Amino acid sequence: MLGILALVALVGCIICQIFVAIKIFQNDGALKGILALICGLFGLIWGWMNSARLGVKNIMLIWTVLIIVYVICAGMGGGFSYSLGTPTP
Amino acid sequence: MPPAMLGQTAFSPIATLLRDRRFGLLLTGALSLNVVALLLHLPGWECAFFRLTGIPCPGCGLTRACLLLLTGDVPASIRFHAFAPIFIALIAMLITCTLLPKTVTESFINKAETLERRTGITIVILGGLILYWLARLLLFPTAFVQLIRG
Repeated sequence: MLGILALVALVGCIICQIFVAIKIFQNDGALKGILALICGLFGLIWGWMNSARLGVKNIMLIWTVLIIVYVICAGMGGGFSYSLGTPTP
Repeated sequence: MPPAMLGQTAFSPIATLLRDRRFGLLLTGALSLNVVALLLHLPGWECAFFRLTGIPCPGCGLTRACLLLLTGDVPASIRFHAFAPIFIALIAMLITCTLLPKTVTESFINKAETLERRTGITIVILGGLILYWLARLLLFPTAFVQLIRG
């Protein structure tokens, strides 16, 4: 159940990120738009800082809630597996 | 719209971000939190694209590559992401411009902006990043995914 909820939240996160990146692309130029597409953290911060100007207040709110839902669900379900060390390709 | 005007709006330099201290503080703060979470093996900022599709995005592995580079493990860092030195330089610029007084940083930001407009260095870096990602994805798909999965 938690896994499904995390997955749904993740899909929502991607949709919100793409939507915000498109808005940034249209209003602040291609470079910032591409940056927002590649780096979600940039999109989230820039989106919140300029939410009124970009007209994405509701989307930002939904995105933030979805991130929190995803972190909680994935954390409880043990979905985090990043490791730092010498890579073995 | 004249071509010059189009270029100015579509490819407006990102060096202007260095002027925004609030943005600088928020981004460096968020990145620091992410680094701390990664070091403590706690949930941090994850790439939603990779989690969902299993395909790494162009920025995947960059945080870990930067950490490895900062700890002196250059070969491992390069294997994770070759753009780590550029990313560290950009973050260092952002931190410097956020913390130092405006009178000190203004001329530097102006120079960075002029350089960006004249050379299109950001377009080159972003284009290079996407080409690098495509090359890894097409030439070494399994190794690339395994590396990012950790």
